Amino acid sequence: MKLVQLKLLTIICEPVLATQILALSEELGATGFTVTDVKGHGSGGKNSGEIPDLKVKIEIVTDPEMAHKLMAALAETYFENYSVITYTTDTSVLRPEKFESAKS
Amino acid sequence: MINLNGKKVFGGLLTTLEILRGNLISPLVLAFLLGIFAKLLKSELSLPKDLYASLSIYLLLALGLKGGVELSESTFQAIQRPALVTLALGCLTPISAYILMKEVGRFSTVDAAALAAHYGSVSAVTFIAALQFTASMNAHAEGFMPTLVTLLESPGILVGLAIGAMKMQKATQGIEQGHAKSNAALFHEILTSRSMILMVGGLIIGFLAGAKAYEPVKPFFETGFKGALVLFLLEMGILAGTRIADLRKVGAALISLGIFIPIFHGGIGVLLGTWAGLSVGGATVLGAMAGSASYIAAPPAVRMTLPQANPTYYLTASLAVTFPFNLVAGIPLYYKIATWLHS
Repeated sequence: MKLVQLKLLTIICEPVLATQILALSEELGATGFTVTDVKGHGSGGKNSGEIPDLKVKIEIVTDPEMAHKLMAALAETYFENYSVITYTTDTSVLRPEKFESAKS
Repeated sequence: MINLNGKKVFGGLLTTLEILRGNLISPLVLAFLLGIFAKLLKSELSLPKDLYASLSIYLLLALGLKGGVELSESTFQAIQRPALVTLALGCLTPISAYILMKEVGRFSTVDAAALAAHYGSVSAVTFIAALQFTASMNAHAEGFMPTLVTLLESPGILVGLAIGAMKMQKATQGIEQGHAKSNAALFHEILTSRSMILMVGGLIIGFLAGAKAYEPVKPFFETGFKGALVLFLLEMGILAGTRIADLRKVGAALISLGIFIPIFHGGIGVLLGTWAGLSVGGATVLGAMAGSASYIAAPPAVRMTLPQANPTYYLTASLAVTFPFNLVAGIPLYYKIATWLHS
């Protein structure tokens, strides 16, 4: 069994952004994603702009390059006006070919 | 208007108080107040998110179905003028709300436009509460009222957002191109929102099925309706309660406008509804529709299109000011105006 190091990219955002962010990640070459409804708030306070006050967590396993590209795009498009945070963590997977950017 | 007739006012005042008191002790209003109260007591009470979603699906579909069945029994002539008046309200109310918010409330262009989109659209729960209220007064509204809700819901949001887009154009020319794509997405979002699909879909199903085919499913959708509404209002109260603290942040201007705008729009709605030939109940409900502020369909659309607008303003105004006002005092007031106009 051979484990390969990749990145787990996590994005926590307002529900209204979920569709746009998933489209963006697909455009940049992500091969898959997981979406969960979550609760909580950050430095911006309880301002998700929706009733009830919920957030969405998007998780994408990918190579570091694509993760950085997506983070840069998110920062440019959404950081100014929306509640959204994003971070990466190291992760190990089997079958790395499943996570190879479709566009690379 | 009321000053014109001093004598009648005094005679009418007692009944107004009676109506208000009767409304205040209805299970709907009390459940809403219980929700607020629970939050003020910092109770951990909250309805599961899925129950909230299920209840709203049930209520909206039931409303659509019943409206559709009744629509199949109304004539095109009867609905023609009320429908036109409703569309006119959908275009007028966001404009007046924008002007009031901008000029009187001194809100920034983008915040005023965001608020206008909310006040231009309609709150389905306020609409249902108005239906229940008029029924309890024995002034049943016309069966085609749910059809009018679907006509009022979208234009209000669109006009409000259009004001924002026009006024903001200069400031945001740089990102204009990126926005072209999201305009189509916005239309899609508004026209395919949960409430639109359920209500329009319900109307069509009810209309096609007719009274006879509706009969077997009627018990499920009608017997439990009022009880489900009580539960839903409890959750609305909890949601409003979580916003009570924000009332201090938004300031007196927004709170006053959050009460004045529904009276103003509601009055126009009752007036136009009466002119269009609606009954006392129908005109009351149209007034409540025009005087209500959306808090389900409008917020995500506004968030997508006018991200610079502060959500605390529009969510607090529509949920913690205008909705409770309409529920407790607005709807009885529109009813009084309607009976006065009809006499």
